[in-house]
Amino acid sequence: MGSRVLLFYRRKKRGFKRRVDRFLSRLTMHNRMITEAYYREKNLDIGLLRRGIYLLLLCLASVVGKVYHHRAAPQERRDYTNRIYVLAPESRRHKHVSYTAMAKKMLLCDVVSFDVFDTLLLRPFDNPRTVFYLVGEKLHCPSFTRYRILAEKQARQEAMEKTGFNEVSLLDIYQKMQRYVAFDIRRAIELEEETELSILQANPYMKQLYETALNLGKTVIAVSDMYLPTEVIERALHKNGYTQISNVFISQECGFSKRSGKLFPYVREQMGEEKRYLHIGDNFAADVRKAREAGFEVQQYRNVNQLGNPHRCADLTALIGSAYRGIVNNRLCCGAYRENQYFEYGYTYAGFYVLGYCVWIHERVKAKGIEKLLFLSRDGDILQKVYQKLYPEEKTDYVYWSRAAATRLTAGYFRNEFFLRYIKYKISKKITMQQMLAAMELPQMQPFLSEDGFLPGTVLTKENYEDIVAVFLANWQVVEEAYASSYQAAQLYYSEKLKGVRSAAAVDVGWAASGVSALKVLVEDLWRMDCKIYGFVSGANYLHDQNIIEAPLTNGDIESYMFSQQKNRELKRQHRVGQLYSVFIEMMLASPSPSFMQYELDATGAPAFRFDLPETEGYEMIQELQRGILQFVDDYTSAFQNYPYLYRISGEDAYHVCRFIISRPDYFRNLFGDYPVNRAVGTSSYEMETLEQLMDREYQN
Amino acid sequence: MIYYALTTYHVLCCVLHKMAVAPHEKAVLLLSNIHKNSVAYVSRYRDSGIFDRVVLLDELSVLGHQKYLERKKLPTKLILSNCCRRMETVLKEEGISLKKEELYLCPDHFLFGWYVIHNRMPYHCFEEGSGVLSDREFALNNMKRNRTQYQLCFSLGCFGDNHYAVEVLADRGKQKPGYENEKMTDFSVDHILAAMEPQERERVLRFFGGEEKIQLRENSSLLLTQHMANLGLMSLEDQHRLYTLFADYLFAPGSQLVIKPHPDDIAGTYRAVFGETVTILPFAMPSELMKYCLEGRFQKAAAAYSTSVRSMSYIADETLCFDNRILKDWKYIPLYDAAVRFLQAVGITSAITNGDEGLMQELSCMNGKEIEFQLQQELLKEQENFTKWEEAVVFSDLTEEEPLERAAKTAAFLQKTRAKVVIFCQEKNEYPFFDGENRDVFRWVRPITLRAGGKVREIYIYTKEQAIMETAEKFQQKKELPYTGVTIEMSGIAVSEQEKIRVLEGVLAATEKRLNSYIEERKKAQA
Repeated sequence: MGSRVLLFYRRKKRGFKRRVDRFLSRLTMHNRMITEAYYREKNLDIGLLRRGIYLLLLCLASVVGKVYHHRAAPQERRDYTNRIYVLAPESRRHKHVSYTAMAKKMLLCDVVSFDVFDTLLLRPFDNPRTVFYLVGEKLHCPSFTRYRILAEKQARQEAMEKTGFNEVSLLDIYQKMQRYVAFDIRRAIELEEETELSILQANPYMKQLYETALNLGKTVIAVSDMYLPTEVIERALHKNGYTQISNVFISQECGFSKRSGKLFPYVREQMGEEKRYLHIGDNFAADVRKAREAGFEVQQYRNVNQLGNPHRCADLTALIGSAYRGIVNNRLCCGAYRENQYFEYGYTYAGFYVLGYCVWIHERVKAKGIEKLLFLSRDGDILQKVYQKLYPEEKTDYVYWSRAAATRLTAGYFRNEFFLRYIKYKISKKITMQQMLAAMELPQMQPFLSEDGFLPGTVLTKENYEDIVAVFLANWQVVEEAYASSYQAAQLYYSEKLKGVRSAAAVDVGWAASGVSALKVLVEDLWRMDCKIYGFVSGANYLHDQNIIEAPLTNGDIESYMFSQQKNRELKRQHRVGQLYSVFIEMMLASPSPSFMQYELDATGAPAFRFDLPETEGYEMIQELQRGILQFVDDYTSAFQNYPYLYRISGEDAYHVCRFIISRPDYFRNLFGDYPVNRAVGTSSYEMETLEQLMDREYQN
Repeated sequence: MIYYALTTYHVLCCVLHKMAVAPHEKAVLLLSNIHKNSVAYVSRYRDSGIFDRVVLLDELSVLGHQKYLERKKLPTKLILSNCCRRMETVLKEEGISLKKEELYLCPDHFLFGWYVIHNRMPYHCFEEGSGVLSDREFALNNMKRNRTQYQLCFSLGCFGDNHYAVEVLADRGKQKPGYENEKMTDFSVDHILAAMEPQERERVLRFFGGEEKIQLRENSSLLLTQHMANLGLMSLEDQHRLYTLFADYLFAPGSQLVIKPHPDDIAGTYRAVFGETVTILPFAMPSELMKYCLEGRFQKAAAAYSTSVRSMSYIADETLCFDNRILKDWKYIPLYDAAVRFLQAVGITSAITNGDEGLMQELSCMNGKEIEFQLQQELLKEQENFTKWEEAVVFSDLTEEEPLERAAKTAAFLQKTRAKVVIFCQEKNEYPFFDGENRDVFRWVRPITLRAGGKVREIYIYTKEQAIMETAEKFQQKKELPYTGVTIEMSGIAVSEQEKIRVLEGVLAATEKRLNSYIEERKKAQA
């Protein structure tokens, strides 16, 4: 009796501990830093109380925005403290005055004055100084950015001492720069002007206001504090469609700035004292306070980068990171677009990763002399769309492929894979022989199993697993016959796709590159086609065997974009498969079509396709997500069309952006909680598990 | 005499009354700074010399105070007395005394009107809009957004419905038939303008900035805009897109386009949207003055859902106006156009639809052969309706209904229908006619794909007639959209796209499997 009471007590205690653990796990998922710190310290030897206190302190620190590793770099810290919009689309949260309200304001004035930089024109960078990297590259000067900043500072100090104003021209700055680098001043100035001209783009919100002002018959002028000459700014405005600006007032040429409070009275004097003015600009001190002091009506336009940067990934390389944040801020914070959260997810996170991956693939294709790219379904859908957009002249195909199809096609070769996916991984589900064979579509195997005592109702267990495998091995011809037509259909399909192609590469998302490996075996070894298959994956990280594709990664047959054992290993370690990081990245590449299951031969002997049950509930989300990705690629490539090297997004940068979002499960829970996921091979059911259910299940483990 | 006017139309009423009825009287015009057009053009009004004095009242601050009191949830009576006190201060500041003055209010249901009624001053009242006196419901509907105004409308007896309104000036000819009001005096803007001396009329035109005469070509079209973005009905971008589609689909190619923006449509930038060739009339000019700025007639005048276009037959050969369904249906114009083109290609002359019948009919006229469309909103409700139509049926978006229920109804309809052709126009790429069991239906369905600027949309044609099916398969048409700047290519699926067809078949089979699982589940539950 005593022992039974003890057993009961222990069971209850275990249950309580499990519930507490589950509660703590859910609590830790809100912040990546907490998650990481908690998991680092999660040691069963440490008592529950100590763990609880530790977690409580972490949560408290998170609330006051101080959660980061004490040795983290500033950018990395910002990655921990920068907050994303979980519940509402970002583009709708940043409020700007409506066009109608602005039109009403304009109606009451005679002259509408616009600030130029960060108002009428936007740079595709979150920091204007990033432009200096591009100029430095043209001048082949490695420390150009630092010198340029220093020289401007010195020139302004000198001007202040001489004239009492700190307005300088580009010439003044470059004269100061001679102290650091002795390049041709005229050429350097021309290059900087040319660079600025090539990247400046119209702000769509301001463009509409500008059109409204013209439509209302108002005089439009531009007023800016800038070291660039008026002629360059006029050209920039003209190039971006601001062709009817009657006057441009630039501090450098007037001799005093908006900030000094003298430029606005000067504008009034020039344009007419009796007129009514409205000024629109982003800087509070210069554009709002000083304009108001000069008797202007004022409308502040909140700076897109100030609005957006607190919500962006910060731990990126200087140039690409600035470009990424600039592009995203310009779109989401400018006030011209009101998008949904799925679009924003695609635009802000997936677009950057997909663009970087496609450009990297292109480089590898050129380096290896690959003739054709096969984008494997379904992850390859959006990748192919983007790749085609970027490189329309290249030969690509979207091919139907899946883990389920690969498992059956290569059953004769990778036998263990077949047994693992269809039998071993189903042990926990406690399925019967009948259900197991139905998933395999192999009812003809039942008599052989029955012979050995495995009747249709027998439940699959850990103990009978090896015996069942033995029956399969003894009667392998039954399996081969059952899958023969599918095998033949696949062969026909790929013969057509790879006709005349000597080398092709299969593109997949990751993680064990099983799709690539299976296709390689089929094409090169089993079908003996004269075509070498390479593989590209975005990340290589297989939970059960970290070295699963070590050799192909080493000899270069398979390459990984973001991380693998050979590349960015630190990222690989931080990639938490258990917290569904891989699932979230796969969701970035989701396609609004059902998962492919099998090849078949139709009545005419041509290959036909069988699909798994369609997850139609998620298709609208996916379409929006893909729209976001394609829009990002469009915006990014059009902004940097003159600087194609900016398309080269490193795998590390791409992963940082991905990790910034995938480490926030609450975002996914809110956005994709209802998203249907149908993950395991041979388990399709019309009632699909949702992402929220999957998260609940996985986070308990 | 003191006139009070709130909107541009009201200003016109005051101007015409002053010029036609009391030309020699001393008159003051009170304008409200709530209406931005009045603020913007006050100096022009002053310079015109029609009124001895034009005063801009600071009603905005009184309105702000009213909103503040509303937020504090004070009773309406208290809000009224507070607002009247504020209004008195505003009038004092402007040096205006209403005592012993003859007052003409246009309208009496706003702050100044409340003040006048509250202080029991006799006044003359203009109707809110042309013909609105007899349409009280329309006027009240517009007021519902302002709670206090709506309540005071009844308690004070606005629209001249109180003891202090001695006269109501309204256009008798435009009131509802049989409407009678003993205080009503006929005041028709159109008649007064028509009876005016040309030089007097010129003065009125100058007052509203419409001095320029526009020479109309033979094939000119007029687009009257509404201020949907201002009313929060859609974004400005969508408003622009709506009018671009209007101009692309509803006006003859190459016609001279004239746009008259609504007086409150100040954010619309039609020059930028339509290009330099378009003529834009001043937005602040009341549309009643338009015919005096034009030389010639319009071939067609169109508006989204403004009723004012209906009374424009004096300047346009054909007028076109839709109801408020257009606010949703405008996105379907390309799909409707493709459906209409297909029906024309197979020689259909009449059709039933649950979509915008007027829009479809107009599109058919534009494409050369008129098809008579009839609205039947409850197309799927009653089974006996299914066999009624023998020509063609066009289903507009059905996706608001529950998908399974919708699919079952549509499948039943298709089974029984005797129509030669049924067309499905929908935004979402779904099969609204597939209920999971009627897989056979796909034998009779052919898609027509619309491709424009990288965007792909589809309509589905259902027919059992071989000739019509062949037409659907071979269907190839192009439509240039000069103002949108794209070409829409409409085409059936080519037989050469074998792989695509096989993939679609595979997807369909999977969809069927899932749908059937649901149906089985439902049957079990019902059993």
